[in-house]
Amino acid sequence: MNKEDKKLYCKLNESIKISQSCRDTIYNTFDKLPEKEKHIEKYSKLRLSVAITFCSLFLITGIAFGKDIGELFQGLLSHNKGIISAIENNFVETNPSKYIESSNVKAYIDSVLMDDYKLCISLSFELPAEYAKENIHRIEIPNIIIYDENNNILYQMAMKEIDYSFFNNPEISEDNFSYQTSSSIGWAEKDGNIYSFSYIIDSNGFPKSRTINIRFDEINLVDKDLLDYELGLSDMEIINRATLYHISGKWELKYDLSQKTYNRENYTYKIKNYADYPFNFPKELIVSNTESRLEFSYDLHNISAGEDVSMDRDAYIQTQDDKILITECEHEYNGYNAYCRYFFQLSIFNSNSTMQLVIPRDNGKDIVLQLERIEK
Amino acid sequence: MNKLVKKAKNGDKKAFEQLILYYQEDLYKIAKAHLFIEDDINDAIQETIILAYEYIGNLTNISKFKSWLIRILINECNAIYRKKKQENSVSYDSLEIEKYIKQDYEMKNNLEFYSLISNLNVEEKSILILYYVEGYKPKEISKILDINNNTVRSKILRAKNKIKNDLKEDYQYE
Repeated sequence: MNKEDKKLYCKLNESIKISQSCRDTIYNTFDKLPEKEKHIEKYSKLRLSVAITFCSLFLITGIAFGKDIGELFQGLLSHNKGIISAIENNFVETNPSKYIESSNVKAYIDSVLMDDYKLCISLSFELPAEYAKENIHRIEIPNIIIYDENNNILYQMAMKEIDYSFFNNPEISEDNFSYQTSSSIGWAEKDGNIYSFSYIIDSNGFPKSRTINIRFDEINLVDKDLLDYELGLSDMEIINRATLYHISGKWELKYDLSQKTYNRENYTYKIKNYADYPFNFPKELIVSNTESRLEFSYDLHNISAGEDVSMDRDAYIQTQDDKILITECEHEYNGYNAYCRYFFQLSIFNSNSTMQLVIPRDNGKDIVLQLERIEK
Repeated sequence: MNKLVKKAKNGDKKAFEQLILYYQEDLYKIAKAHLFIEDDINDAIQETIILAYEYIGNLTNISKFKSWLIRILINECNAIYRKKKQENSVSYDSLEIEKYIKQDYEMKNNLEFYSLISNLNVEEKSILILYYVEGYKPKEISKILDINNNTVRSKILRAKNKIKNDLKEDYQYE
């Protein structure tokens, strides 16, 4: 921030305080809120406008991933170098699973990419001729659950109730959180009467699963033209309005992952000069097979005007021959403390043993963190 | 924070209340930039809390809770603003604002804030608050307000220029 910006920042922040009447209103409103029945996560795939950057990126990923791995390179080169480098280095499972047929619909898993931060699953459905229409753009699975051999729930979507009884474990119920932090779903790609699409699921730390299991008992074939977001309608109401065909059945898919996936290892980098700046940088940076994340905080009182991290220029990691940009960053100010989170498109495949992580500052004197891989 | 959002998303009312209390100052500042009458601000925040509680189950990316909440609030503020303008119940011009400031104790406390932003239009106020107070980047603001990234950048510059003179005066007295 320059002097003028800093001044404005201070004035806008200091000169306004929440009123007592507003505090009272907030507490009175709490009293009016009804208790809700606790339920497992409801993910609205339709309301992608809220999910912002990740979703738009992953929609592209989703289409290409399931259809043709080769196309992914072309389609995503300018989008996510972390995922591309993983696929280029064969860090992807591409043998289709056995298909499961129910209600004349054959379902199978095309391909899987799983590391600590990402789980990408491409699903295919072979539909009977009467369903395979041109105007089907999306396949909705209203109660899908994805879990591994240890019953870790990796992802669940419960627009329709999930029956947990198959776990034979009363402790696994709708109250169990899954590993997902966010997700997105690609549009369906048609090849004859086979429709493919992908789930792209984010996590703060997926387990090293050996088997992926997917269960659901309903699919909805949806016309995208009817998928208009409308406040006041529930997810199911929107889907019902846009659904051309509801197909009930029972699909239990299983995918055995290979050693390269469940024995994956991250790289750890020492941040050599983490203490040189008035920011609470971690001492180490973890790099997974698809991504790297840096989280830090700082007290705005401790930095002078101009020293603040820039909101206009993106952070990046400089490798020997490439500039690895961020996919997304989050800045959150809480009073005078700032919390930042950067997601870099850096994987173990496009990293070097030494690199520089650059965080631009308003005064142009950028933060340069020296990274050195810790050899095991 | 994400854990709290996750709980709230799964129907935990207490978690939702904690989230609102955590962001109450942010909500107030944003509403204050749009609406200057305390009752209107309270209405906007109340409606935002009710809508957010009702629809949090549909939040796709839990790390975006705050920007999602702000977006609901800005929609509510705009709806109230439009309604008041149509009804002509309150004229949102600077003379009226001054009149209210004199009458309203709460507003006297925020006089400096109003003097800073009084010459800005509603969109400029939103952008400036999101940029300086909430710390969002232009790219993020463009998504919250659903306007072009370059428009956000140029509006930040324009808003800054409009209040530049006030700031210069302040420097002279320091």
